[in-house]
Amino acid sequence: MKRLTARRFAVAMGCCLLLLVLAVAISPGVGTYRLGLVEAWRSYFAGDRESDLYVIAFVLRMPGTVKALVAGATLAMCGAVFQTLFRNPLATPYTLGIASGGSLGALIAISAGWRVTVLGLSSVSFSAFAGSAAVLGVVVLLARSSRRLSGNALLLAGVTIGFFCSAMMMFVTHLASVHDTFRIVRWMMGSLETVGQVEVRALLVILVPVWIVLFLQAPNLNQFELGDEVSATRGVNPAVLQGLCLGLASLAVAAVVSICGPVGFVGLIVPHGVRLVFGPDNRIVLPGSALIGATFLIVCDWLTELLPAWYGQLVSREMAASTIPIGVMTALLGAPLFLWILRSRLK
Amino acid sequence: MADRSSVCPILELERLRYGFVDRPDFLGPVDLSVEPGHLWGVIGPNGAGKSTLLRLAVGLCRPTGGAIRLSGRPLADVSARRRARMTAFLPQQPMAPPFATAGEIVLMGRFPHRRYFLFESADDLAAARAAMEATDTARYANRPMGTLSGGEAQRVHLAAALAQQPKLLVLDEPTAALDLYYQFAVFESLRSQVDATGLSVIVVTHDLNLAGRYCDRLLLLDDGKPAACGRCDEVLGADVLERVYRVRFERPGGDGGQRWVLPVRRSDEPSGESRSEEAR
Repeated sequence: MKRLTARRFAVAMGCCLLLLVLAVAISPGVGTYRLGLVEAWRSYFAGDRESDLYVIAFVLRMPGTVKALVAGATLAMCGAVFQTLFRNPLATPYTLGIASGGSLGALIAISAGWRVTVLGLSSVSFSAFAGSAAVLGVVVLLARSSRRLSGNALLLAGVTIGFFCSAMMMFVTHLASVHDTFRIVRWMMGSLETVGQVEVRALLVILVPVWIVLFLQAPNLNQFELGDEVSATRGVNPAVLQGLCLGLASLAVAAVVSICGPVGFVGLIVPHGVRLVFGPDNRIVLPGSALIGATFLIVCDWLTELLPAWYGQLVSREMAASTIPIGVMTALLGAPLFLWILRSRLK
Repeated sequence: MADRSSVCPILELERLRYGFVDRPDFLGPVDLSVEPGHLWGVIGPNGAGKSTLLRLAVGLCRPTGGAIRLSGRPLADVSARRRARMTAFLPQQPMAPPFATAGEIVLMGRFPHRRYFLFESADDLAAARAAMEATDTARYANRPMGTLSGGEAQRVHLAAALAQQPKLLVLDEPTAALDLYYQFAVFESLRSQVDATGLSVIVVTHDLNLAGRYCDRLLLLDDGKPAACGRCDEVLGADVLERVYRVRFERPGGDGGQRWVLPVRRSDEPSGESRSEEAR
């Protein structure tokens, strides 16, 4: 029998952190334009902000990496929290309909053609955030109307709201012009493109506190998994914990969806991968998912550029210059990877 | 003060009542005083209010009338953390994540006592080890909960409750899923904990004979009301037992203190002899 000591925790987190640091360090050198990694970092420390090397590596590439880091960490950590709170391995950060609400908001902004910037967010992002917040509001109202909604009732309510938003989305798409429809479909596939870098920084104000608070709830979430009665008699109020964590995680997910679109799969699979490797203890699963989720999305971001460059050479130059949407890449890379981990664990 | 606390009952229920919207006078009034070092059995038919009484005792629901005192203080005034250090609860169907190991589940019982925010101390590990020894589960320590049989898992949950080192341990049918051997084993480990550490236990059970053999006192509930309360021989020997359970009992060797009974048939069934004659 082993207890979790500071040492064991540090070793596990150190492994995950090392992967993330490596991914971030390699990022400036990864892309269609071949660029030596050493030269890229040398240009960073040389301090010439106008040099071509610096612009490619740190003005064009790094912001996408930062965005992938922030989104991946948030989605994976919140996925772990949702799976614990619903006591359901199939729960994802989007289970409460947050992503559908966000998508609907973005769609409305796109098809209405709004072009305003609010609080450093583009109108599409702001509208997406508002849509997610509206869904969260409906869920909260539902939850408050009874003394406490059971996990399953909340799950059903979330799925129902999701279906309603999907129907509305199809309706809006149906009414939209061909050009807008294309933008809508593209938005739904998710994107890490960084036109307005200010967006990520604006959202870190929300995200960083949420990461910290959720991590601090890890020991309580462990007790929560033993059932409402046992956790209550051990000093954890399950209803309060559920309300706090669902609310905060949903807020963070809404923030991510508003800037990246509904990037799927990270929030479902990364926590399971971390559990398969490190065991189900949330004190490791939550921070581990955040670090691995960030790494995973950064690697996916590389591939969105590298893959077209490889297969594009065979087809056409235009195809080689395009990037695959990030939402396509996560499952394309993640599904085989996860199945491989699963198989090696089931042996 | 130390003297007083050793005399002071760990749990006192006074004119305790509880009800639902459609049955406002479901339970009670119940008076009960659990002394330190006593093993109480709560018996009675299905729906008699046994589980409700346990939930009230550990603060999972609020009484609609009367008082509950934990170590002399009103239960509602005791903070959740303090309550968790004094009472442990084992529900009828405890849950555990299937990939957590038995050792992790037992260590999680140390939650109310942990000294560091995030990590377990060496003391926590020692307490968890001792609890696993006491329940004969130490050899499962590294096995995932999902690979344990129902009886093995149940004893791991009991070990977690013991690792919590409560003054009062409350269990809801802990032997329901166990074979005969481990029914004895669970009650024996409860008995030895009670005798060794002065722990108080309240256990709901349907097994009258295990209750009679290992408990110090029994409370018989009938439709939310105490029908009999006191020493095991008094409760098991009482005629009221047959009325409450609607079952005929035989009491072999009845004189030397009635600690076991033999249920023979439903009391509303035609008598056993005439029935076997019909069969012939």
